[in-house]
Amino acid sequence: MDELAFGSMMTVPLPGRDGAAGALTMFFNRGGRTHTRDDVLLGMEIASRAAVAVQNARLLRDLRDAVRLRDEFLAMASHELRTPLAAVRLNVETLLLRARREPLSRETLVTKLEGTGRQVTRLAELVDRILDVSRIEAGVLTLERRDCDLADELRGAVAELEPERAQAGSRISVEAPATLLAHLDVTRVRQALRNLVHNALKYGEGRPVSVNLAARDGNAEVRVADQGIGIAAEDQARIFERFTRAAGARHYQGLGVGLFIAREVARAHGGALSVDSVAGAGSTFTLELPLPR
Amino acid sequence: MSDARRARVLVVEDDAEIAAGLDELLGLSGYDVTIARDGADGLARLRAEPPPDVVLLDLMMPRMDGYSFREAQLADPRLAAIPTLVLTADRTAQAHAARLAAPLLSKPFAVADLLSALESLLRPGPAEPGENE
Repeated sequence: MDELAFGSMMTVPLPGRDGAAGALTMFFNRGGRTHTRDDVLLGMEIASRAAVAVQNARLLRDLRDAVRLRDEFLAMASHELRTPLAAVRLNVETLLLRARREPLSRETLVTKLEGTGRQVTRLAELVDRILDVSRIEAGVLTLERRDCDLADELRGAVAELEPERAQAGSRISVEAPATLLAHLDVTRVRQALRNLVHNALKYGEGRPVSVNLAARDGNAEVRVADQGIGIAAEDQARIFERFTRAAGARHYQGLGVGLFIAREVARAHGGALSVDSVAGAGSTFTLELPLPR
Repeated sequence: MSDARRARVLVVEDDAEIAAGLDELLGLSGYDVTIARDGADGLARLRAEPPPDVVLLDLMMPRMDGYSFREAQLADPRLAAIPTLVLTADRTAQAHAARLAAPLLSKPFAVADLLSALESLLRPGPAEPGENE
């Protein structure tokens, strides 16, 4: 500071949207200067212009981040859509190859068409999820609540994931009361439950997964616990953002929107979704949904 | 490739439906097929005796991805020369083609394209070194 040999200085606030965003300090090298009201006004004018420049730079950075995230999502979505499409094309063309060579049995046809049907369902679900993200972002996630048995829905969601469970090689234990009456958007909640259980299988490294449902303090509480790769502390907030995943995208398929959708569904019901995890030891996700009084 | 035996294909693919589809198609087309569920499994099978004549490799897989598989394969002089065809749904993979040092076929691929790519890998053209790209 001494080397600068300034004689006086003036500090003015950098105006931001919520109060001062910072401060601008000006040094004057002539000594003995008294700052007049005009000097201060000039300083404040410079500060307000600087603040606009800073704000623009921030907006531009945010916008670039958003575009980058969107591009990554589109690349991921394209990959995710191409995989079941590849399976459908392979199935259909192989079946055609066989049909041209030999008469096909009814059994073969049924098996092949069932497999193709599964992939078409997978494609339709992916398209729905992509649309869900746009709907949530546009703020139009509307709920269609009806009376339901949450215990039954949970068991149904787990049963639907049997192919994924078999591929992962994990055991799933479900602990739930015989019935738990709730008033929810069944389709959305089931989707959130599926996302949580699917994640537990996907990142659970083949170890057992436990699913637990209980009524607690006026809430239905669903806990989905795995003993897999877990999530590092610094990534735990990030995983609920759209298009993000803590795990390497080169190893794990997926759109990176499952937890984002699950949390938005929970919030739309007045509930919450939280995580408790230790990297390398597994994760427990807790979904809370208010119960009717 | 002599016609005395069926050519051996190692399929490294984590998607069960695609792996099953390739198994059936290649079996019908006269190949001996071995399926590996990820890169690590694939590498173990690549090192087994007898080695495959050709490898079909997916890129995005759990445990060990296709890039790491290829790196390990190229680093092993006994395995580096085994022709490999990369099958991927990742449109950005083309940018890494040099690193993979293998031809790429995009998913969803046509069965006819896959079979002709396999044939040309197994029957290298007359003295055309470095044609494998």
